[in-house]
Amino acid sequence: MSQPFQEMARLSKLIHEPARLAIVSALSACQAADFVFLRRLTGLSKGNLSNHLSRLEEGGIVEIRKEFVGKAPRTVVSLTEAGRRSAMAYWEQLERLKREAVRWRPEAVTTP
Amino acid sequence: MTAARASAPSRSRLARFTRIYPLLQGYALLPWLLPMVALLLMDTGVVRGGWTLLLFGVSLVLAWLEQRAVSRWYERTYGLVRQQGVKFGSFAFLGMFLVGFWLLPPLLVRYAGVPDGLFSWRGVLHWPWLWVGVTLVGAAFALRPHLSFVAVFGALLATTASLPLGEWLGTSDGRHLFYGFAAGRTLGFALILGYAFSAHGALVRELRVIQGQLGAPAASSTIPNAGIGANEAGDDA
Repeated sequence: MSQPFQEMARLSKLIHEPARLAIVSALSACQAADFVFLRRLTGLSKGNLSNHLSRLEEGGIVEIRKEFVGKAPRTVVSLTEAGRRSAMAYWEQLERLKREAVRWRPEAVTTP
Repeated sequence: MTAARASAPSRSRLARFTRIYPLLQGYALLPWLLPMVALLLMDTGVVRGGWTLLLFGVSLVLAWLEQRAVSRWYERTYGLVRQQGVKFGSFAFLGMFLVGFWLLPPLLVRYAGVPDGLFSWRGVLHWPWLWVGVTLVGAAFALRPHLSFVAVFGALLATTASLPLGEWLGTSDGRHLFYGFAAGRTLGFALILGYAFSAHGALVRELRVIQGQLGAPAASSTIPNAGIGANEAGDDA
């Protein structure tokens, strides 16, 4: 396999999925956001968003806290330090991949 | 997954939207029309004497309380974002406004030989609104492309404030038209109303664009049982 494609295979699968990437991108620009904001932003159903957040929490990317506003519950999500580092590493890797893909030329096929 | 079918919105778009989300809560500015109405009542002489201070104070308190109520509505409906500390940018615009308002005129008069009549309250130009316009254009540039109304309004304001409208339209003492209370209040009303509706419109529009780019999932792909956020406000509709 050529270099850009080897690099592509090493991208974090956990972050690379579009909905999770959107969640991580939004969280990287703030201290924390609640469940309602992330649902509005991504347009995901409660179930799907909950599923994605669980995956990110299991991977140590996000931290999920329950708060109460009066008697109403509020779920607040923030990136962990490890999550911020993973996100930065992912974007740097993606940028590198883009640059390599531009330079990439198919290797000449040699016949015996 | 349905989301994978569409192209993902760019990281910068998502980050920018999240960062300026509080500024897009336009309806939260509407309660500040109350003090404007109070000022209008005072200007027109409907309320006089000791009542003016009381009326203005009460309108400020009411506006602040209502702004909090509208902000809570935004939290319930569109969600909450906690920003990372206090951004320098928010102070930069306030600083730019204050510097231009108080510091720039004496400096221009002293070092650039600009006649000080330009900055007086009887001037042919209207320096305060001119500088408000310049500040608004700067703010809109920083928040582009979401608040184009602010850019257009700011540019119009700066242009009209720098034209000798008083002389052209023949006011009695040649003062700029904006020095009249009716023009000043009208501009204030227009700015608040325009900002409120255009900012809220930008919020709704941007959410729709981002959701569209993510390919907001169809009902068939949803997982009905939400563990995290199961009791959160709002429906799945």
